[in-house]
Amino acid sequence: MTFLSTGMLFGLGALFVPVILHLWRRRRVVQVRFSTLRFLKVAAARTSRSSRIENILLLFLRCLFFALLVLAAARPVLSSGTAHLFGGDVPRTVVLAVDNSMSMSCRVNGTTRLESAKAQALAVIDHLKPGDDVAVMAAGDVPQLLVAEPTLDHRVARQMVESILPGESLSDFSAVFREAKKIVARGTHGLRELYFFTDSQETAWRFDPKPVFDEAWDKSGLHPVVVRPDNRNPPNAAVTNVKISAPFAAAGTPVAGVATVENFSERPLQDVLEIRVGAERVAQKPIDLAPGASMEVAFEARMPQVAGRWAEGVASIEGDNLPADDKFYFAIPVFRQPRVLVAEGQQAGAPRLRSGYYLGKALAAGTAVAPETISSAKLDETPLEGFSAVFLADVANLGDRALVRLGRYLQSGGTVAYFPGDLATPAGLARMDFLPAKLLGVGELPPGRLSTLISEPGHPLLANAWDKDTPFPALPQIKLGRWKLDADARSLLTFSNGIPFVIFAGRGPGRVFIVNASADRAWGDFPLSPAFLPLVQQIARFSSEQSGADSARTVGASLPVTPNLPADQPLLLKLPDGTESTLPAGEKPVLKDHAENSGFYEAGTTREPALQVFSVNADRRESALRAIEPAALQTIVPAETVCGLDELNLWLAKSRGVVPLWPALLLLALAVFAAEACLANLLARNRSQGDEQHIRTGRLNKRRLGVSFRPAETETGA
Amino acid sequence: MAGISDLLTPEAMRKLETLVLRSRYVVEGFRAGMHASPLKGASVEFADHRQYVKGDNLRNLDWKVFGRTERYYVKRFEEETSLRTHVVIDGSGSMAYGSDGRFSKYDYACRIAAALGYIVSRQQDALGLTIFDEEIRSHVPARSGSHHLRHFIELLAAHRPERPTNTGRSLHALAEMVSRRGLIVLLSDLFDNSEAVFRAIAHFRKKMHDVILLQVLDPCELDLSLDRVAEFIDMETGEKLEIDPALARLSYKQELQKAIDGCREKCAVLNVDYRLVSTAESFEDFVAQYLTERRRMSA
Repeated sequence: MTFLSTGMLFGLGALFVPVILHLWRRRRVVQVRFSTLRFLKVAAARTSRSSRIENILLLFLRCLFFALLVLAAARPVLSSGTAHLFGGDVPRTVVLAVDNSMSMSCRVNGTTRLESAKAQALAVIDHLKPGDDVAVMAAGDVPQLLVAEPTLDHRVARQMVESILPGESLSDFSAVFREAKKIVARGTHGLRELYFFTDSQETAWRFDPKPVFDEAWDKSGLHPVVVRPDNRNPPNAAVTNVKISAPFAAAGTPVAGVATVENFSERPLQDVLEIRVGAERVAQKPIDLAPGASMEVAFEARMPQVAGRWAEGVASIEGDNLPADDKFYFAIPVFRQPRVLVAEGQQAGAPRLRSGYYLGKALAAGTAVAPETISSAKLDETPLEGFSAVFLADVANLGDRALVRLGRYLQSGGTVAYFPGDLATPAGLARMDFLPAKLLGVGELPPGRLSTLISEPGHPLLANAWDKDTPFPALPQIKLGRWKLDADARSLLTFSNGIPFVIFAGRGPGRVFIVNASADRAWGDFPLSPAFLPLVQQIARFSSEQSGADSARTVGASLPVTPNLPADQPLLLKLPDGTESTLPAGEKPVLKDHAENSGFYEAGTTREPALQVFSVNADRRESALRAIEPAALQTIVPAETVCGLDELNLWLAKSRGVVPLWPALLLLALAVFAAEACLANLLARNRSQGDEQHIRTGRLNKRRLGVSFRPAETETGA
Repeated sequence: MAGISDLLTPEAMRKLETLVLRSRYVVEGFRAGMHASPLKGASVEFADHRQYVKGDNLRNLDWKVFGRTERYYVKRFEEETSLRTHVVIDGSGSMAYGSDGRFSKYDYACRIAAALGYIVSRQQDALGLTIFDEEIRSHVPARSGSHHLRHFIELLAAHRPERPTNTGRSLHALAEMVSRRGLIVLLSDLFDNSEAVFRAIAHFRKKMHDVILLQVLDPCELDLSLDRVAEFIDMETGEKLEIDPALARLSYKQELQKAIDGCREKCAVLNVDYRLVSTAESFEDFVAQYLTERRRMSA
């Protein structure tokens, strides 16, 4: 016999009420001094035993009445063994939810918990009757409905359970209960049971229960049973994070970082942390962790030679029961020369007169890759995806196609730097709507140098180049443009007269700079000043540094299309298990909706397959394997907890083919109540019987005794 | 309880003034009185004849009999004498019981004894007192006079009922002490060995005493009118017994009734005047009613 509302069994405490009343009544016995116990003893001998038996019987009946009421409220059901005696079985709708989150990959006694959970789910299916419906879901971060509609075909359910694969996602238990609620709401019949096969991690139960276990849940009548594969608490540690201090790395340069290792178990941990980059082990550190503690292990290594744009690294400890969290994947963007396209508005005449001449010289200084210089007219037909930055030097206006191209380029994360000049007119620039400021006009300045102020010292463009100790030099300008800044535009550098010098704004993932000085000598000798080359190279470098963003993801998250990837070419996506998929060219919101496994996801073109590398790691909340206490679970949902296959089989044997017993218990309670009332009435009558008899006092009834009152004659004689 | 005024109020005395306590049998008084004596003497009440012997007073010769039979017979007359009344009170621990603020049975018995003593004194009869428990505690031989009545009442008041009882032994002892025929008024709850008690009463009867037995009981003893389960403590032995009075009431009453009936039957056999009296009744009313009834039935 099992109870569908076990919480009501707390009402059995009410049994104390009649017992306490009984004992209290006994304690209220008073002491009475009485003339003699002679007659009382005889009366006691006649009544005490029967009275005691009657009182005990009365107490028993009252306790039984309360117990039956409470038991009926707890909705007991009878197991199959005796079900046929009470009118047969009640059909059931059973929802099987198998947790396949990362923690279920934990090995206990050589078997993963997921394998144990699947065996338990199959045992439940084996116990089902032909008329029982069954639905199956795999419960990761997003429940996967394998048998969404409850079916009578148990063979299909078996196949679906067997097909559940281990995942590396985070558990979302609230979603399991929501889905189960939806399944049974579709008009299923009979008893409704949810078997949730899970390790019941405490962290996974940390959700707000109110929206989940709401009125609809109560109406669903679902009786949840949490089936745990075991009741062990296996030791587990994990590398929870790796942080590289530099945004990118180059071969042979030192790389510093910090790896965090956490001990989730109740035993101390001694292990060795190993850092690998590519195929090479770059660092190895011993770790010694107290139970429940975490430590940050700093390491420094020389970056090995890696092919491609990304260095793939792994921080790992020795394997334990849950190997999935022993490795932490990280990807470091390898520094690459910025590829810059210079579009110049003025190309006629001597090279020095061309508006992009000085830009080309400044960008080529100290790098192996020279910038590509084109006429602004050719922007209409030049693909921009390969360039990290596009410099527009005195470009008066742009064609529609070039504007669209630049817009898309910015949306894919590109960088545009605009240098005005004599050709620039307010009308022409007004068409370039990606610019963060509108040119109002150009003003002349008296000869001399104009000092500049750093408005945003912390901006990445300026942070490592100029500061309070190394101020931006004064500029020999003779002309300045007057600009009206857009709402989102900021002036990073400002002339001493208040006119902005470097204007910056973000355009989606892309960035736009306006340098309020011509790239040629039309507005002054800025190209010849010592500030020109570092500023231009900073903009170019800044444009290439952004490629490391968004590369670290967790399992279950989406993989975005980063600026490193061309939008107009088909893309190849290579998963950690080596499988590849092709994504057609064109706009796409994400590369992949849901990263299912940890490891490296490589995206690129057929020519260069690893333009973007994502390091995907499992959410480390899954590493805390400690199960929730049954009492704590009861506060969330009144669920029954069963541990291990044997216990489950026992439980199933008891609960299988159940018959509701509460109507019978209610009837029995009624009968007990009636019996108690009769007995109490009988006792009351017995108690009042003595009141009706009275002992007569006063006159002696001698005549009745036949004895004369007059003295006998014999006594009168002397 | 201190003096005569506590036991007998003037109002009670007024009620008792007209009453008379007479013996149903002949008694052996020590002076002339209103009660029948076994001796023949001078009175107007003819008794019988006997043959004349030398020395008989010729005044008593019945000449009419001589005229008819020519034989000498003398007339004999009933002698009337005073009454010796012995009030015997059970002063054992059980008599100390009194429920709901009523008199204890002993107090009640004392009041009846005082009332009877007052009546007896007014008749110029002799009054004796015996208080007993397991043995005789106080004994005053029968005397008459108002001073004696005061002493009688002081003795009643002085006694404290607290010891166990042995009625049979005490009455036997008393029966040996009281030699002349008289009236024995026994006031007791009779919570003792019934056989022994009635053997002792038979002893009195054998000695030709007129015996009045007044069994004094508390109303609570008669109907066991307690509502709650209680632990009863025997006032004489200290023995304890927990019982639900409501449940035991019927059996208790049956047992008590049986005991009372047994007393009645034995009293009837021994020709003992028996009364069961509840302390709930007014003692002067009881005495008045009893003596009136006794007089009527003796007539």
